[in-house]
Amino acid sequence: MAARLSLAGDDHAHGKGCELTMTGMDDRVEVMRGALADYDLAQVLQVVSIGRQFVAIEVSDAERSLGTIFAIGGRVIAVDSIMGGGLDAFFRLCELDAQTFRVFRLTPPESLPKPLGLVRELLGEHRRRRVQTPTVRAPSPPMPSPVPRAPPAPTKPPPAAPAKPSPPAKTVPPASKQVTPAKTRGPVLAVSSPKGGVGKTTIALNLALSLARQGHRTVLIDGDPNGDIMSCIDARDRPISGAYDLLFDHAQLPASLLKTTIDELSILPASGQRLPEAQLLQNDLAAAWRVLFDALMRNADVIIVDTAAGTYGPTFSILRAATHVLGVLQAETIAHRSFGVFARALESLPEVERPAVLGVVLNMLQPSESASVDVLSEVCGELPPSWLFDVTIPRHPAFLRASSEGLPLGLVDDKNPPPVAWLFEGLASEVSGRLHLHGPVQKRTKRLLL
Amino acid sequence: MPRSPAASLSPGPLTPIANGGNLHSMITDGEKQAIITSWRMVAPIATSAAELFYERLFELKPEYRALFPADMEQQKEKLMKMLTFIVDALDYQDSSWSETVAPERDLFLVVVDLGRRHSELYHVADDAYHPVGEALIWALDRGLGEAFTEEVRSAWLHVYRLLAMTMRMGKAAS
Repeated sequence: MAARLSLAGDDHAHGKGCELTMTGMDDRVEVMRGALADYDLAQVLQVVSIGRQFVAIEVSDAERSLGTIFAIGGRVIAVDSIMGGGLDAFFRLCELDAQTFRVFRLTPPESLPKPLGLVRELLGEHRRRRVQTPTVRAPSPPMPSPVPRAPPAPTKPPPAAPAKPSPPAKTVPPASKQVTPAKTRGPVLAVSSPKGGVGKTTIALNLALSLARQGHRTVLIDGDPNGDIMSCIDARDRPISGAYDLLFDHAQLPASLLKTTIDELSILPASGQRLPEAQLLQNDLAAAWRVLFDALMRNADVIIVDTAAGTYGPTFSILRAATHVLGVLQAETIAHRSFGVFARALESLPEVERPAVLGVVLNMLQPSESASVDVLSEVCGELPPSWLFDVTIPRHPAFLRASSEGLPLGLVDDKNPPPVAWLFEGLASEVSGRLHLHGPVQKRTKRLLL
Repeated sequence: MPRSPAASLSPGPLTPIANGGNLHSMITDGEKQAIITSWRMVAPIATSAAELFYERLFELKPEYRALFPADMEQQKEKLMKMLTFIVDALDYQDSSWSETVAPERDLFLVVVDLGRRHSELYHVADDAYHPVGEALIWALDRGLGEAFTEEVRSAWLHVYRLLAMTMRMGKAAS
């Protein structure tokens, strides 16, 4: 494709004016090339902008060149693409499913046209267009009730015995459902439950620790505006800022993400010392969460998000942005009764936004209490077979001790961890297996006898 | 056995994982200024800073010691020259945006080439960048003390990660 530069001022936005062809630029030197699966176009623009060269960035799909962006000094000078030129073409080029890029160094023309804009600002605008939220700083009306695109499948009528809960609707997709294009590239697992106090935060924290210990780069996000993760680890005074500050553009990621003593585990708290404003939480934050997940996923294998109780409000935005959901069901009658809301809430989401159900973990099982054991046997019959994890977490005093020490179970006593801590290793193995995480494989010759 | 790497600017995610200083990931004028100002304080103690860097690097990764020569004086000098080059390359008025610089003075081209050499000649793997970046931040922290504010730290981290990404992209350079 011949590259054309508009040299006319006001017509610049529409790519009109005098032409300059790339084919005439014999002195062009290819500087680098790569796959846009590894680096997106925004990153390529950021990288070339650290220099002071006149460059052309050509993006292509498998069959043809899609367009070329000309830039110098942190500014985009011109765009030439299959969709024409100018600003519109720039944004559309950023959205195209290009596969490869090549960067050329060129001799700049004698007279440069007025730039289309600063790379920084254009990428910011591109991000805003992707988010499709005019501004998340200004309060907007409360999010409307979710309206499913497809009519919900009829659920079975409640059983005659009022004590038994309704079985979950069968229309919720299984865990094998592929992630839709609207979702982040990597696995983002929301830990959710319709009822509070069932152990979501404990599950999320200990699962994240175990996944990290198994070698998966894990980011644990506290999506609960109340910030329960920090309470669990007795660190409420540590965060300077957190996820909700990032969503509302009040903070920067480096200052917000907390390193831990486990190399592969980082924690993004909900907020700093100030809780997020309630009015802002009423905004639709799904798109902002997706952008945050995308940014984190560039250096992570899996993201775990602890959510607030219930499946609406702030949690609803997280569920719409997450790729998967892990349900936590307390082995107790009231929790069991309310669990049907979990499946119905998921079903109410448009299919393109609905997270795949990775599974349901039964928590706080009390083998000595028949009512608790009854919940186990009932869910085995009610839930789809693929949903229930093999690992069941019992109620155990070790959790209280861990809370009082402000540590996840697996760190309470390195040399002699409580037996229940090992269950999270098993849960992490199940989760990583279902998510097809490609962790480090330790090949050893196996044998029993010396 | 490969020669020891040149003054390394190994990339890699550091304390914060995600890409760049903020979700926009462009170096801001404020960040440039923070880096330029803080470097002026490091320059007089350049030798000590280089020592701190390698001390920390080999503490984090003892196996890397074998990749460097026994006498580290030249290596330390190379490191500080490279860092000085980076800071100088960032120090220009935005009003001169349309002016190009010679390829050997251009931060983008030099770092791309550095990344290619690191990969092709010294076989430095991507994961090697992490500890080197950590050592750099640690050395700056020790060297600058109270002057290593959160703003300064964030600026260096951001620039480091951007340069790291540039070096990694340089692996595929033609």
